[in-house]
Amino acid sequence: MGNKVVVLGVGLTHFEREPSKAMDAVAEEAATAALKDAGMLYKDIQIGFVGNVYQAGAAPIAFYPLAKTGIPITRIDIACASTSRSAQLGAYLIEGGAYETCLVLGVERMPRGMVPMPIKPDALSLKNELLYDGMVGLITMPGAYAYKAVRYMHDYDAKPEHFAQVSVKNHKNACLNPNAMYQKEMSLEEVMNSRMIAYPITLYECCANSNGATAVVLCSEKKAREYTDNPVFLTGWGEASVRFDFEDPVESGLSDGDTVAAAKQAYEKAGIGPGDVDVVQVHDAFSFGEILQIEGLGLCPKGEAAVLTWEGKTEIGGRIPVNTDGGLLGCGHPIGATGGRMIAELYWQLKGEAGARQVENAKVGVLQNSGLGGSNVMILQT
Amino acid sequence: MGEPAKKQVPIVEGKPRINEDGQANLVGIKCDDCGKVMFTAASFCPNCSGENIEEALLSTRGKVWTYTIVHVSYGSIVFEPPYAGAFVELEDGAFVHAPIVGCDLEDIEIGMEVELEIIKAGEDEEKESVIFAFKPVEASRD
Repeated sequence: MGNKVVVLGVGLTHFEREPSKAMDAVAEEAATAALKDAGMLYKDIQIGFVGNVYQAGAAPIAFYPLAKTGIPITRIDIACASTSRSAQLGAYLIEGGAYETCLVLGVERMPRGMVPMPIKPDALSLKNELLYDGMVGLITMPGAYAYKAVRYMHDYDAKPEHFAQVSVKNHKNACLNPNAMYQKEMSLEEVMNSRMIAYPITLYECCANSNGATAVVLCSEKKAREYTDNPVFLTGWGEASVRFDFEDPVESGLSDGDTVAAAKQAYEKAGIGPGDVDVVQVHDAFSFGEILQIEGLGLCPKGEAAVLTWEGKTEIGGRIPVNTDGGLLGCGHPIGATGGRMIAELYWQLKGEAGARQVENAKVGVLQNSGLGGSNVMILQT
Repeated sequence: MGEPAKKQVPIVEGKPRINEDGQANLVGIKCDDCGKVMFTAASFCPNCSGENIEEALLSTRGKVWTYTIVHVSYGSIVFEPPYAGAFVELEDGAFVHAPIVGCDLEDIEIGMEVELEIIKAGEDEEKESVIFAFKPVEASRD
């Protein structure tokens, strides 16, 4: 066993459709808020990671003026799961004793519209399945979720409205979150009747591109004790990639095999099981994702998450509250920064600082963040 | 008799491979170590990492394992939305991601029997570039 890892502070900016500030300005806003929350100064941070997708060169520069302290800074890009992976890498370093403190920044500026698949025809082999499928027109992100959703409906007798309910719930939760991009409830009819994108997924079941920044201060328990008597521990984490995926959808699994593998690592590391979890964050880039990931985390048997959602058991006050801050659907999805938002929400829930969306007596939180490059699962506990 | 048919050339070799007699097959791999048949161009077995793989001509028939109707896409060299994509489970166990053609979109369902179909993607004076799709088995008997 190495050093225990603590989440000592978090900071978030308001997520915005159109960026009202420069990237380095929102990065500084989030980082300064996280440091203030932790009670630290910039000089107290020993290593930094930046989760970011769209600004290869600019992301470290956005971070650098904040630190000016000569610390090593590394940008991590695994698409939508960049910041959670950054935090996990930081956690490994603290656990192993290489560093005592780490600042994980997530920052993104991105245009509107469907996120392009990372297909560069001049860089990829024509043998590559993604390239061929892309040329034919078979590759879209909503489509990737839609395939699983259609099979799920067939296997478990689920209906499109069960999935749409995820979006209804998450937009409702977002109204309780001042950082969320959307502050407007949406009815089941509005979601169901919005434009079809990839059957059965409609427009309002797709998360929106967003701009913003998140920051998380991680440190060793020993260091944390200098700052707080009630630390929030990062007790478990795990990471895995989808195995065959486009070659073999059964193997990649309706249970989302990468989340199952990552969750197993995380639960074992934390020494807890799905039954111990009080509050949950999952990757609802598209409504069906939430259904899939609830099951991937083992929070209910396979095939039951749709009904669980339909019956309101994943709402705040329900048996297992999921995406209490509005998730990707309600908050918007500044791709590289989303993992940091998930960590922040669990941290606030466990500290009892989640305001109107507080889950009563939350002691154990689990998050799941998907990206091209795998699924990350993290467990926070008081 | 009209003009002789132009030579059909797939935009990616093996997707499908077309013989002199016009017979078309998708080309995948069979792993001699674990026995898995897969539609991939990997140089090792994605299932067991074994290097004893051989080229395999895949079954031309299978069943729809799952599907979606694409209403918004990045563009296709062949189709205008809405169109259908599917994962087809072939008779030899390989899974193939492909368009479904030759039927109304609302008639597509999981378990539907389908067979390989060649679709024209473009042409020049000598040849026709093609991609592969699947169509319902019934539709081929018209």
